[in-house]
Amino acid sequence: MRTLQVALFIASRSIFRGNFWLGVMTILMMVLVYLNLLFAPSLLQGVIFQMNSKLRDTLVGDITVESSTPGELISNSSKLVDQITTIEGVDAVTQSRTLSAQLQLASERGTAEVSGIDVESFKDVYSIPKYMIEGSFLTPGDKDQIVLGAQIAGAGKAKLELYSDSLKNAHAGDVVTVKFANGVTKNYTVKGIYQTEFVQADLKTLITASEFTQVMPSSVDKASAINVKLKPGANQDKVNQQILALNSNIKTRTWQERAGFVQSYTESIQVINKILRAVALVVGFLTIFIITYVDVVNKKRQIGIERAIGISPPTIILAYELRALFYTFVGAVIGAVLFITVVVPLEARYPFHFPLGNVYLDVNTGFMIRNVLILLLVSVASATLPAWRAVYGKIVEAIWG
Amino acid sequence: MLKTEGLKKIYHMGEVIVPALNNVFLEVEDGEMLCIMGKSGSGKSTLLHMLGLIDSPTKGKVLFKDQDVSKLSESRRSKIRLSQMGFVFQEYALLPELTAVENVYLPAKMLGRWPSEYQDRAATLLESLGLLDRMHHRPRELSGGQQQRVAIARAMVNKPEIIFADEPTANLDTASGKQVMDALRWLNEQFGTTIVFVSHDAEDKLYAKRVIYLYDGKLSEEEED
Repeated sequence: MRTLQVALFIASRSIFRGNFWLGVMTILMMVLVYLNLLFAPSLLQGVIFQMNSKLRDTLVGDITVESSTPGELISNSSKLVDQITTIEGVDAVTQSRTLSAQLQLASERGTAEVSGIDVESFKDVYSIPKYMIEGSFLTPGDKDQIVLGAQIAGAGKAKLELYSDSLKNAHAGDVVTVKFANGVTKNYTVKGIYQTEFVQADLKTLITASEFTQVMPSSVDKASAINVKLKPGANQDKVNQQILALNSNIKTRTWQERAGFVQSYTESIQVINKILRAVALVVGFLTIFIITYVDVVNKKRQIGIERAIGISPPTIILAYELRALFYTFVGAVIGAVLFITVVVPLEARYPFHFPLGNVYLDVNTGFMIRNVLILLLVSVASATLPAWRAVYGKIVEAIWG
Repeated sequence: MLKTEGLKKIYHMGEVIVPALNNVFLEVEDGEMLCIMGKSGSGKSTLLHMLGLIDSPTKGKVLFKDQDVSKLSESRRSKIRLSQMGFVFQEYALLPELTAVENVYLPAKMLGRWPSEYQDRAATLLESLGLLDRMHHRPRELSGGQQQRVAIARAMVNKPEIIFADEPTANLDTASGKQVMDALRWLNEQFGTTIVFVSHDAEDKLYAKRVIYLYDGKLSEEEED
């Protein structure tokens, strides 16, 4: 307690009566270190968030229900959809039937899976209709109309990832020929083209459920998949179990289980994230280390005097640690305020555009507090090392300078 | 009170061995005001550091109140320095970020005394040394003599039994040097505090009750010609 009191006394006098500009520069450095610690990880976290959001909003929903027998459709699917809809925590449910097909426009060909969808419920589960770049989305009564994802349409966008395998120049109003895997061939007018910027979602080709029934009459009241969107905060595991209990011939997969192809991206990003955070922490460590080291070298004699008059080494070290904690804490608080009031709104106004769309900084209070605590720990360690070395040397040598 | 037995100190400067003290036997009596004189490099400061427990001998013993303190841990030595010894250094060794009164009461704070107690004592000491109006000034706002008197007040704040002063007048003009030496003598006479000081100024030895001389690390009661 006495050690703490004296250390606080020495540290406070050193902070408030020491070199003003050195203190200001130290705090500024810590502001930058803290911003550095937050910015890149928040951005990368934003990428991960965007990736997962796109996966759920455009491709798989929260839970996918399929037949437990591979290749078979779910029977009595409408009744199952109704039952799932009544489960607590479920926001929307849609069913679809899918058949592989080859699409042709003039001499260009492309392969895709054509899904027959229930238009209204599809809009409740997926956000694809919001991403139309040409024409419009399907309406329930549409006949001989098809909606294409940008990656299969091409839409004249040569920079698309899968442009070479697409129809290259399909546009709304064009007529494409679709050869289904069951041998049926039919011409459809392209009603619209969407681009979510999520490659897998942009490979979808959509027609209405009634249109699909004409191609595949056996699909009436059957579904390849039922996709479920949950309400915010719903217990996914609980809903999943309740769905499985409805029918013994189905299996379910959560969006996390279907995230395999984005998982590798996510993991890579998280590795990069950790590396960037480690670098930021090393920068913080070195900043405080250098400041303390230079200070200790300049005050070698003073430390010797303090020791000679009976101030214990742990007290002197603690004073340096407290000073480092102060500078780091003030720097982190200013950094946090700047981040929330300037950086986040500015980035939201001028977001970074990634291949999967605009990415916004994904940061929460817990993450910010955790980083403050980590930085405080790092600053204590970095102040301790030089102070320890100085304090445990010979007093006489310190006094002689 | 304080005794040395066969004290030796050797410094290693690279491969060169420099003997600083050679077989020093010394006894300091309670209430004494002892002056250690010698030329520059004679080992007088080294001896003072050994006596004040801020350096360890290569060989020999330092006995403080009959206890061999030369081999104690740094932590124990630090406690003895804090509670029973006081130091005045050559170059006004005050902490620049503390005011005069804060410099004075810092060791008392470290010793765990109550703020009201140590603040009053620090103020009284400064007043006694003619520095009442300088209490809240920082060291850079004080003259050399004033700083040295603040250092003396600091050395006294924990009511030590002995004060060590290492050339306390070395950087002062004659008038300031006299004030500092007067202050040390006042402590010795007023409180019976034992004073051991090092000097190479012949004027200073006039303040001492006993003078010893160091020549090349060896002690002598006689001044060489």
